[in-house]
Amino acid sequence: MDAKLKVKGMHCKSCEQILKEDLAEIAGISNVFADSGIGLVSFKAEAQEAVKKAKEAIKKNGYSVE
Amino acid sequence: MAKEQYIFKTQNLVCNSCEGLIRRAIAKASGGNAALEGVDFTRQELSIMCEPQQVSQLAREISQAGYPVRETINRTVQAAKIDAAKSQVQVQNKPETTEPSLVKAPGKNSSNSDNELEDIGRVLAVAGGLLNGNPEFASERELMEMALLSFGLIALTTWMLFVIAFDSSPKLLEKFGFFIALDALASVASMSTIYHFKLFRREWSCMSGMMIGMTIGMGTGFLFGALVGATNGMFMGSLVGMTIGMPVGAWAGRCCGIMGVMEGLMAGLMAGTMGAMLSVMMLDDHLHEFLAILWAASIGILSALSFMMYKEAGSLKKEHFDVSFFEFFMASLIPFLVIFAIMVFGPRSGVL
Repeated sequence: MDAKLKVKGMHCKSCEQILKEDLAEIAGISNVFADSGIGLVSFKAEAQEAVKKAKEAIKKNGYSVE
Repeated sequence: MAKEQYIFKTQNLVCNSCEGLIRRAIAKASGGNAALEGVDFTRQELSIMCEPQQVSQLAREISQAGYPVRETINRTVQAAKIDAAKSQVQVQNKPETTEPSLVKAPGKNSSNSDNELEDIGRVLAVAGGLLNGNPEFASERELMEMALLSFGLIALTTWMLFVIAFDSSPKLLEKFGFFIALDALASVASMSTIYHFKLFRREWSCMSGMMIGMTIGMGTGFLFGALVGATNGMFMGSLVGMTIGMPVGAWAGRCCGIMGVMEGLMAGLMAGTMGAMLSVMMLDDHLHEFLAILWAASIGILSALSFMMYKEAGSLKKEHFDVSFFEFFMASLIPFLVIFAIMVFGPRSGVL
């Protein structure tokens, strides 16, 4: 499934990069895309469990997920 | 190999995420061995603790992470160089105004010299200034005059005692005359140094305080221990030497705490016993000559201590010189009379 998350707190390319790296390490997640300008993180997830883990990873980095 | 602190000058540092990325880059490049200590977003600098051989690899990884490294500086080596340079500057720029003028060799600006002849010249210059009435040494000169006058008055007091109390006994003069003179000298010389120290009213460095405690304890212990040892034997001499040397040394050394107190106590103990022992050992071997040499050496050392205090603290301030002649004279007379009484009337060891 395709997942699109509204993320608040991203400032720059670094924020994008850090989230990309963290989400790419989660099993079942691929094609991660992050855009700090519009506050969007999107990816392909094999199961809802992977989406849940992605949200946790985003929050762990200090960002909020809507 | 030991880790050192490096500053990596970089760019594109914006937020905490940048710090997070850089930490990961460092961990990847060093295997967790290097550590990011701090990030300066204003200066665009990273402070990293790492081994020298890791620097280039770390610079590559950080650059690949999106933060090009322009320059790396070894802060550990730089800090050491700065400290060394600072020390050198302090030695060179030591303000001359804080140094007493006569401590410098005549005609030279430097106050530090490895030339022993110049050191002797400085001492002679100070002594000359003292004797010639240099205004810099007004208080010291007044103290010296008090000492000389006290010695004269003690001599007068002794003569009066000799005539009135001892009926001009020639035996007394023959047996104790020499030692009574030494007693007067020891009392006045000790009080001169003690008052010179007392009138400074300043906080001494630990090293100076220890030296003061040790020298005063040793000087007084040695002089009075040797004196009473010569007239009353080793036991009385040691007792008197220790009783005087130890508390006086501890009092003088307390200016720098327990270390100074211990120095004074130990010096008084050693000198008090050693002085008595030497006198008894030399009873049949040029005792008078030895005591004359010992007095000259001890008074020389006490004078050197005064010079040391002057070198460290400058000359005595006029406003601190609040000792009257009467006080100084009595402070010299009382120990003189006590030792006089012990010498003449005190118990003696079997050896005497």
